[in-house]
Amino acid sequence: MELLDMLREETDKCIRCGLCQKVCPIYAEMGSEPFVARGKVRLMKEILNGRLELSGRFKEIMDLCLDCGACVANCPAVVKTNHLVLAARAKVTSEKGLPLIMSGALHGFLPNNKAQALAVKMAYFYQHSGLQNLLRKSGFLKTLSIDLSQKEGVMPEFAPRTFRSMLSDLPLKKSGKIKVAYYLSCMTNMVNPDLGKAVIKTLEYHDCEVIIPKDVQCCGTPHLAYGDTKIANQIAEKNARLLMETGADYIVSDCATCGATLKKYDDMVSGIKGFSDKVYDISEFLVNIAGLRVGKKTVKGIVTYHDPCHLARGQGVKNSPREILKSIPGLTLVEMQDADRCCGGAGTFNVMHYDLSMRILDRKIKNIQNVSPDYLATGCPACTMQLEHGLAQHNMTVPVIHPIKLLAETY
Amino acid sequence: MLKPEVVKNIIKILGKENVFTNKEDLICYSYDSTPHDHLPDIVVAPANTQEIAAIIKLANEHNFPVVPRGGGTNLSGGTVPIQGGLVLALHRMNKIIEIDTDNLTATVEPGVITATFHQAVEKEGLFYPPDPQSMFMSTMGGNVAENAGGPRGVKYGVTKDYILGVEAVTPTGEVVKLGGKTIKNVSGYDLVRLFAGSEGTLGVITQITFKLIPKPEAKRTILAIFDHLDDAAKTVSGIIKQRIIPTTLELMDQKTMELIEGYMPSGLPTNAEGALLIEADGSAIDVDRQIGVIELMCKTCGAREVKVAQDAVQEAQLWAGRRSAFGAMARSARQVLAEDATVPRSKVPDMVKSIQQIAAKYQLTVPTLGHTGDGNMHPNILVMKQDEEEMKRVDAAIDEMFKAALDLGGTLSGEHGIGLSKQKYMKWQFDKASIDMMKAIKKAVDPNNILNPGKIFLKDE
Repeated sequence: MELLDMLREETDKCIRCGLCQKVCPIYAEMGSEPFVARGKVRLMKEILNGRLELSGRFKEIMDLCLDCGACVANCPAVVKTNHLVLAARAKVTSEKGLPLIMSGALHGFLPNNKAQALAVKMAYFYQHSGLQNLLRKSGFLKTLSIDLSQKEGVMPEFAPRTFRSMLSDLPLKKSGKIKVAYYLSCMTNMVNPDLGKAVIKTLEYHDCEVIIPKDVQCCGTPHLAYGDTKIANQIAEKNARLLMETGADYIVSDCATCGATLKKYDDMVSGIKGFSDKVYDISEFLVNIAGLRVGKKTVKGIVTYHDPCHLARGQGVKNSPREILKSIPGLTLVEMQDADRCCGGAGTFNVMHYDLSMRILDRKIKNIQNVSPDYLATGCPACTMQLEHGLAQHNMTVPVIHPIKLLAETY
Repeated sequence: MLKPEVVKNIIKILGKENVFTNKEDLICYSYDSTPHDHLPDIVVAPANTQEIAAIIKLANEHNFPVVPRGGGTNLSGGTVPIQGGLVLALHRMNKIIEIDTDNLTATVEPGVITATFHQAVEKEGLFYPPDPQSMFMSTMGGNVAENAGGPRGVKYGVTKDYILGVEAVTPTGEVVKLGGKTIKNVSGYDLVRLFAGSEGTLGVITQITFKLIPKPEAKRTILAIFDHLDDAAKTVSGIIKQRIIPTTLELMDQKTMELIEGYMPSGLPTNAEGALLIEADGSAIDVDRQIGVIELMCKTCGAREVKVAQDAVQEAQLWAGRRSAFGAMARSARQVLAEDATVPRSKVPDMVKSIQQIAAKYQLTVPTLGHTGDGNMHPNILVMKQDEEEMKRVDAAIDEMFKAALDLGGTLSGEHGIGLSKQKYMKWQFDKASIDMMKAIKKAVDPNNILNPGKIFLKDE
């Protein structure tokens, strides 16, 4: 009941000025009222007042939201439309359930570290055995569906081994001025173990003792996005416990989305008050807490920075990554237009709504093209996948790289 | 409710993917930026003039209302389908057809966003001055239908001053092409201007040709703080008497500044009765001259502080408070009712005083902003509870504000339109013969009362 009142209060705050139309990436493509915050807020209001039933169309509308938070940041009355949309999805999921494939992914795969390890091996085999090339060249995927062949293109390049499986071989320093727990994200684990190594190297360079609780699970964002609040809360409880048990002074994440969700754990789990205050994005931690230290080696070229939604608006971190990039010897930061506009990746949005996502991405790629950088830096693995896909489609060879990886190259 | 065979016909014209009958879609087209709402029976998104003409012919055959709609950010209930029927969502007709740099005109479809249009013409070194504060969401068709204004109105006028030509579908489904690209044009009645402020009751605008002007080379901003509101008002007429017309001349009252500072401190004094934000544009040399005169006039009239922006950063700082005013109000109330009663500019001080007295009488908080240079006041009534007792006070206060504006020789609306919100005041401003003439025009072009019925006039008038 308390939650309902809160949501009702949120919908009442909307004064229907329509300013959300200015910034919503989905509305920019669709142009119609159901697909902007003002429309979604109104629909939620009708549901909460019992004047509208849950329906297929309602779900369709609520699914078309990137959770980029641009509407919230631009709203004179700060209506938290992203919360309302997640609540709407939770209601749909709790009353109508999830499609089988989704519940499989959310309940079985993502929280299961062993399943992730197996999947990485299979994906690596697929991508490196020649099977991927064969399937792509043969056009076999297109015969199944054009859609599937396009979506397969969004799939990231998997690593040969998970980062988790490498951990036992990685010697970590046993002391340091600051004790930091490093939260291992799914994407660093499965796709980008090099980032994990760069984070450890950087933290140790900043005289931190790094502790990595191996058994942490997926942060719960996909569950929240698909309205599976129950599992998300269970995951949050376990992760919070494992991270607290390390006794670390700070908890650091290299994933914009994981970080944003870890910062919400206080609201999701009872009895862990103060947990979220310890959570920092890696760039935020280095600049604001540890005091940024840069090495002597240079990285030559021009870099432009893409703000992940979950970092810029989700966590309010915009300056730290830029400060890091600016401090790297030899590197020049050139801003692109609308750097903080969503790239359209948004977790699995690009897979579920491929065409729409690509239209949103095209605007981003144009802005990157105008800078024509040597590096595109961003601190979110979902953005990275999406941007890599877009750049490849436009025959651009710019590497998409986490700012910390660039920083670690200076040591 | 529309009969199934009518819906079938509509689908035949537009294609299934552009016709919406789900309750979810109807809800999203039931409102605008006012508290009014009413569900339509169907929402459609046409792609061209012919489709619209076909829909309107059908509406005449089967007698259902048609309401054209752009961004839905209008402030008088103009796009609320108050009698149900069909909403024409015009977002698919959003092409800039031509920017003619030889004739300094631009031709657009009605769904082009105002700010997008600004950017496109400014890229060519040209300028389209009307700048309604909803310009990032509002559409050019909507701007014409509501005759939108904005802060730059004091120097550059409003939308109607820039329309040269209109293509429209009449309420009986015929296509008319009026005006053209020429500045001078006195062939026949000036029906082009009739569409400005017609609020979607006389035709669906499907194409508009606008006049453009060269983009001013430079602009500068001044912020002047006044202990006494009267001095601020005197400054306005003082500047005009010097034969200078600033681009914008914005007044903020004390309540507005208090709210802004409580929400996003931007260096505005909360112990001053008013502030003027003044912008001048023109050639670089002329702007400096204008700013010099304006600064002197502010000081002569008793400003306690005058800040002149020296660069773009300082300019942004001076505007920051004004820009966040709406947010500050929205956060401090459940509902903000933005009125736009307008008086001759010499009467601005009297109008501000009236607003303050009325607010006190009905125990309401009414921060007031104004495009003071053209007498267009924006008293913003903050509705705190939205209960019956409060709304009674609010309604009474609004009644009195309109009375005050009319007594000062003003008008009900400077730029928001009549729509549903101000219908009942029409007879306060106009005698019967004037209203009858307007209604006769409506009846002549829309015999079946198809287009946006129930707006502007009350039924019994």
